[in-house]
Amino acid sequence: MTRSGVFAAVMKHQNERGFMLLSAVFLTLIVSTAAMILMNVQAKVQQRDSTLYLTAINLANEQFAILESRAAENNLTNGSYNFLGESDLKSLNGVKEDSPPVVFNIKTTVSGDDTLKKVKITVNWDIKNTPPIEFEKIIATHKETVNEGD
Amino acid sequence: MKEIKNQRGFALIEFAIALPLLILLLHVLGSVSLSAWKISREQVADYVLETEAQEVIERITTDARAAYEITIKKNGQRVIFMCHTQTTDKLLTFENVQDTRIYDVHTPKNDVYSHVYFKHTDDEKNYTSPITGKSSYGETFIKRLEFSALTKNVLHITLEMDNKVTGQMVKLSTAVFAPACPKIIDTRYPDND
Repeated sequence: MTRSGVFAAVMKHQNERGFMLLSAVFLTLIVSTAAMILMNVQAKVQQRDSTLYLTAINLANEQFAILESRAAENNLTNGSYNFLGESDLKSLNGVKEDSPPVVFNIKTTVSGDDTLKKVKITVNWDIKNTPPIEFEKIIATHKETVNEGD
Repeated sequence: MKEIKNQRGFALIEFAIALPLLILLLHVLGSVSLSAWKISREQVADYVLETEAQEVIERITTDARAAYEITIKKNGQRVIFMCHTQTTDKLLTFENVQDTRIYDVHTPKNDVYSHVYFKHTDDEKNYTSPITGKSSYGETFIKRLEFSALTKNVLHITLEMDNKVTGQMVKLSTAVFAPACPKIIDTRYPDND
């Protein structure tokens, strides 16, 4: 490159206009604002889901307890069962005050032989795109569960 | 002097446009930051509420499964579990002791809010301690804790807890099978005594 060529290149570089400091500040503010809004929305959704999962687990445990009680009395037969407990299947957990309650649906199937029963409980609730939770337990059937020596 | 004249700075019009924009953006950022702080505080408080509710349910169900005698008292607000545990002394000999575990809703004298208290009594120890409302982040209180016998050996538990910070409520209901308990005693129904 000739001397005049180098001079021309340096002059061209000096005339280029890059980002101003103010542009960078604006861009940072816009991006951070958008990120914070998205994070807030995500946090609210996760909070609601965790409360509903907790409700579902406790309802499933109630169903297991009643089936275990029946198995202890040798009164658990194979087949499908609806919810046998007393808890309210309509829950206000995780919903706003003015929103309708979330309704849980519990389906139970019992299979197996006379001594061991395989209990499968599926819990779902009426919110779209929420996969059901499945629980499985093997329950032994007994006529008596209390030892005479106790 | 000549160099200074050739330098380009902000024109007044640029400044007049940029400053309101900057103020607007800072206002939005400030509002969102405040909202994020509030939400994070509420998140922690709700997390504490859920955790404490879950802990109460888990402790009660664990003790119920080990109990050979379950008594419901105080209009369904108190449950007493009688269990057998083993202790060892200095000579490492095992000894069976009777272990009484009581879960109760109680409002302390200097407080307007109720909490769940756990009272533990055996031959060596005797102490009472609150198991909810301990966290400084959550500030929870009990609205309702009720026990009932669903069948002769299935204990039903209903727990309602509120959060003082957010007003959020958690209501959990579950039941537990007590395999070692022949019949749950509910003092509300005299024929069960």
